[in-house]
Amino acid sequence: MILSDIAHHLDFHNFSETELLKKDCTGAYSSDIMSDVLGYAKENQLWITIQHSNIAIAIASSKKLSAILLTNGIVPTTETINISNREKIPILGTNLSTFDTAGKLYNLFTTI
Amino acid sequence: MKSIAEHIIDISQNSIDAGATNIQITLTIALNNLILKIKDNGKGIKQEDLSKIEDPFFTTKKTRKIGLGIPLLIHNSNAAEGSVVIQSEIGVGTEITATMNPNAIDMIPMGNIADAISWLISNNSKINIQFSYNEKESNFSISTSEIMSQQNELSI
Repeated sequence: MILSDIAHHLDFHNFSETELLKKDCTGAYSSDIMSDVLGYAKENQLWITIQHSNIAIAIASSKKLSAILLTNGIVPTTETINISNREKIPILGTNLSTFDTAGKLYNLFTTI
Repeated sequence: MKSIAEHIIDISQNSIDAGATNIQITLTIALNNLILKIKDNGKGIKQEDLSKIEDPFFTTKKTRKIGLGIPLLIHNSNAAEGSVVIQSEIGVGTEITATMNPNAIDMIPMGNIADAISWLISNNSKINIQFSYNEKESNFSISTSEIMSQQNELSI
């Protein structure tokens, strides 16, 4: 699915450049442990997390993830947003908990 | 990196890549304070690069554009109510000191320190790896040169 469709269906906010939402997304991985994501996340997956530091962008970039989705209403800093644009890894956001977010994304991916 | 043991291996690898012939690893554990110090005699880090090391997008490696080792150590130290200090001098070496509170909720596990040290010593026979562990009244230390002097001709 295209990120912009996902964001539209589930009402996710986009902190980064709109252009970046044209990327494809094949699924999602949920984890708040950096080394776990480094080991198990797959290319083009959406990373559901509360980790919002620059390291998260670096990890997403090195694993070629589609985007980072911050839950619990977490807001990234301007510096992190700038880096997300530079690295072309959009940061999405939602006020929902990780559990609710993952549930809704799972439904979306399995019913379309 | 999920554990202290893995950080030890990762930071030591940086020292090895910097051409160190001597790496001193010290782990000190007191009540609310854990100090991991890794000191090498490698080529050192330029002053202007010292502040960039914390940036995961800064690396001197040619094959990839991301260096996560030190940023992850800083991330884990901060999560454990601690911090990382890096001192270095070109031509002399580098010393990295990470402090953490072992009782902090988000403290990472120790991991298998013994395995990490023995792996480092066995795989780097040309480098003197010194390890010392200090906790309350107990002290333990081992080094490549100490092992060599007891082994005579046997290889590591």
